[in-house]
Amino acid sequence: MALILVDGKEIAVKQGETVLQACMREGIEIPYFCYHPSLSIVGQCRMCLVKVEGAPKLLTACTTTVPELPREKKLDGRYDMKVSVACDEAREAQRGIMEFLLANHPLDCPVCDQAGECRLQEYSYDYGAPRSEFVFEKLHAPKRVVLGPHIIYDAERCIKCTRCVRFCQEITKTSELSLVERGADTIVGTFEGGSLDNPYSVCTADLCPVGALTYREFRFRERVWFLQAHNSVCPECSRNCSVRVDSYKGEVLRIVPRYNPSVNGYYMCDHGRLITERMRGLETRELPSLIRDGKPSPMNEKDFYARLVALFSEKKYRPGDVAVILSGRMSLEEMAAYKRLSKELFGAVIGDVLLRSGESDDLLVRDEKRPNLEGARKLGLPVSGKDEAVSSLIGGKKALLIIREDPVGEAPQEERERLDTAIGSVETVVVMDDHLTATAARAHYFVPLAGWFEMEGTTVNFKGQLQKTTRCVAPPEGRKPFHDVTAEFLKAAGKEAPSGFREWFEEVKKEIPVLGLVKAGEIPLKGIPLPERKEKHG
Amino acid sequence: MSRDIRELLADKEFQRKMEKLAGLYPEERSALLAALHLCESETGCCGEEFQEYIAGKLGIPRASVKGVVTFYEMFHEKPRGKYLVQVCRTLPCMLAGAEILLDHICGKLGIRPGGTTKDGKFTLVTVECLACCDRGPSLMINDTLYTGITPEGFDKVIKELD
Repeated sequence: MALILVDGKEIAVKQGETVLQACMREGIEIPYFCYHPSLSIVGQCRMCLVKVEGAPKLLTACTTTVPELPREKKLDGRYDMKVSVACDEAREAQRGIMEFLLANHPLDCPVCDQAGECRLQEYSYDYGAPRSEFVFEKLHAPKRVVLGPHIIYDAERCIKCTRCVRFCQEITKTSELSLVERGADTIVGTFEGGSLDNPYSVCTADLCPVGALTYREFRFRERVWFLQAHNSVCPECSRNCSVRVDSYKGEVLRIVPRYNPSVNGYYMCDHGRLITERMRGLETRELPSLIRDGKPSPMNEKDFYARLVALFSEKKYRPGDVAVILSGRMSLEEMAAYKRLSKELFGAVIGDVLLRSGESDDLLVRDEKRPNLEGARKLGLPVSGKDEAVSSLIGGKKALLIIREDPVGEAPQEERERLDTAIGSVETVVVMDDHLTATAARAHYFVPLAGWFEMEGTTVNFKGQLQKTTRCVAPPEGRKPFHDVTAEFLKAAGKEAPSGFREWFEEVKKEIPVLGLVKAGEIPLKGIPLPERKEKHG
Repeated sequence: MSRDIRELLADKEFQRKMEKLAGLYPEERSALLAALHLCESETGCCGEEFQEYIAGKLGIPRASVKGVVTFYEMFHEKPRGKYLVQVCRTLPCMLAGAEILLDHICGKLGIRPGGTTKDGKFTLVTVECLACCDRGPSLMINDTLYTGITPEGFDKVIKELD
């Protein structure tokens, strides 16, 4: 442990820690572009120049570590290094670097997507020179370069910090990018015919401190200062990456990773971000509907639930007559609500949560493609087997309830026919989902539910981390989370029911006692680790 | 100087040289510069085909190989003329008249920097410092250095080239 003095403040520096890291930890601001905690340190941008007493010239704080001096050599008998960030020399250097970086920069902030979240802009305000001495014509470089399916590159805005290059070399290990050419002509490029197409490519746009790399799907969609940020969780696999969802006027425009060391670190996969694109154009419905010959006819909510309750009480389905397909896309509250409903309707908790699996990698993507399968296990709901065909769950049943799954739409061709026949032979089919799926078109009753980003809920990831997702956009009037639908059902049947996320979270707590004193409104942003589930043996 | 790249890659002698190069360094990837020099001297350039070959051979990402090829002035991605005219564009040479010299050469050869004459004889490029700042303006034609060269001097030099 070494001790440094930074502009009059004493900071203890850990072995191997750099001056930049120590200062950041202690809240002393040193400007930087190229440094990133998850990437190698290169001292590329020169923005973090600081004065170190005894050094012949300014040093980059990001590369400077502090050797511990022998007692008799300590400065002022106490310090291993004396650093100044705020001295005139350092300020002058920062101004100079800013001037160099902006010499050939197009200064096109009014049309730049990064404007509002751009380090170059921020530092220009905080550290830049009021005017440039550079009076010559700016160099021009390639613009609108399609680096990959989701990334566009503007070489004129690029400051060559190499964060994107290092990300592809060190994190994804795909090495698509490199600096090419030299000096003022340097740009970021791929090999001829190469493409920045790894499954995490959009992280390079997040890492880019300026507007050089932009995310194609978000480009020119909205000025960032109009966006409303919401903390949520990505529902695309059992990793449950912490994300920030940016919305504007009730539409989710962008999903970016939110740093969470116990879940996803700094990154998320492109597939997760592209939810926004997949959501567009889905047929979403606001009212519960009766479906005849694949065509939905909307119905008044109250009458609809009364009719369903009457149906179930009249038919008196026994647990053996009913197949229920649940989803790992349901929040813990929705699962707890389902358990209550099942007991009410069928006298027992029946049903299977579908296991949906697919490709995985050793970075973030998990093989289980549902966010809350672990939550289902925690609540004691059975999860179907890997190779279990959905049609085998349905065969011979009189009633079928499917919540947040689309087995028909997702069935491979050869299974589809069997599934169609199986569903066709069921007397009563109820499907609840956030859009009108292929399965819903084969149902008799369709109940619209709020979508993932339209409701509050908690999930448990594969490691047992419980996180909360917030309501990022309002669902259209009439679309509710499943737990609120349950409440409608129970009310229509003349029963008491909890209402809203908070009350249903209390129900969840009854089943996961370790949550004990946690209040629904007080779940930390990084989540709560739940103890490992005890496997039942025998 | 201008062998076909495919012929070169198939050449047993060349392959033997490559093996030897790779073995000369503690880390194989360090052989990159030497390999690029070899290819450049044999074929006159280090095009995509060779970049891809050497990347695979030394276990380096091909984008990084491209980065190295484009960084150094002495490597070229595209085939060049028989004579490569490299005019120093660094400050001391410019002060000594490199700009006038370059204008003259452009006019004389009828090409811009980066271009090659129609007969394939000359390629003109500007390069970073040739390390003769005290005797500028300087230029190199292939491996021969000329310093303190005037427009007239240049005309004389190329007259003697076949």
